[in-house]
Amino acid sequence: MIFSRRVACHAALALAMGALATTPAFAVGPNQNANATAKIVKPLTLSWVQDLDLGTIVLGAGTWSATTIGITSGGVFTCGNTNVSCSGATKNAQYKVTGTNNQRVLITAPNVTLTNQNDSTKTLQLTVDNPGFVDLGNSGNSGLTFGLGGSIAVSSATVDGTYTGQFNVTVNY
Amino acid sequence: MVRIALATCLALGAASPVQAQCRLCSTPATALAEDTPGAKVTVEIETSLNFDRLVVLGAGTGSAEIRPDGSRSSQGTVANIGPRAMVGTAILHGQPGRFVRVDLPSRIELYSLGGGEIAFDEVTSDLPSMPRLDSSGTLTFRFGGRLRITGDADGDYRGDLPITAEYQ
Repeated sequence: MIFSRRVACHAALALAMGALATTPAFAVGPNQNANATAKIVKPLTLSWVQDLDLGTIVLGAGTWSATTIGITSGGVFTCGNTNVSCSGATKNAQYKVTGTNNQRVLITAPNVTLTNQNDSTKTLQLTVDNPGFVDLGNSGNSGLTFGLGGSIAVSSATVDGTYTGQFNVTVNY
Repeated sequence: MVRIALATCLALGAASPVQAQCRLCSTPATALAEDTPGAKVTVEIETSLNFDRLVVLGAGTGSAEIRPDGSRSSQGTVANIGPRAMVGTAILHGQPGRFVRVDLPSRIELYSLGGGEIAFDEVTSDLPSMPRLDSSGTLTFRFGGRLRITGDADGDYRGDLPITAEYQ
């Protein structure tokens, strides 16, 4: 009689476990996950650091065609050919940009018209040497300085005087 | 002779005339079509939701919104939404003509590698009130929502937006 009770208990337990095991699952998982992405950046700031200077250019005597005097965005100066002689300190223009770390910043700087300070009708075209972009890396918050260069073409017909102009620099992510 | 006549009668009885089928007599079926075993609605993500680049001024509160029609707007500290921002697009595949129920979460969180967290809420779609698969068994819909940004939160953010679809 005792033996038969034990068997009955085991059978009931097995039935209960079987009922639990066959309970249907009603939860429905997502069929698909769509990604949602956003890149949040700080606004860029641009500030002037130094002006571009091509120094003093002395034109040689006689008649000769144009030669190019310029300085690269990295600050490397070149002084045409033997028809000109260059002196004085030269430097590239420099600007500082701040923004968000690890972002590429695009630089736009069109060519500049330099005007003779003695005769505004006389101009020279400064062809800008632009690096095109800078990568902020980990310097986004503190800022990164980049250079702009430029070159002019002078000939024996160029009117002497001091030529000046203004860069129009814009930066964008 | 008697046997032959009986056999003929039996043959005539077995070959009863076939009645013409009445095509207008049957009751039209209005019940939902039964599920084909193993057939499910599948969701294909055609384009992910992308806010592109958000320029945020200062550490205040702002939001950027992309609606299912592609329009976008920004408020507060969010000064600009990038030009490549786009709504999400999903395609449902299943049995032609079946009504479906599509569930989108009302809010999710987006996280950055730096540990930042921003909320994406007011998720909306251009699904009709009774979405139904077309004759080819597909249904395309677009979805958007609002991104809420608080504080100094620059970085690349990403989150998963679960989309669930099933037959009604």
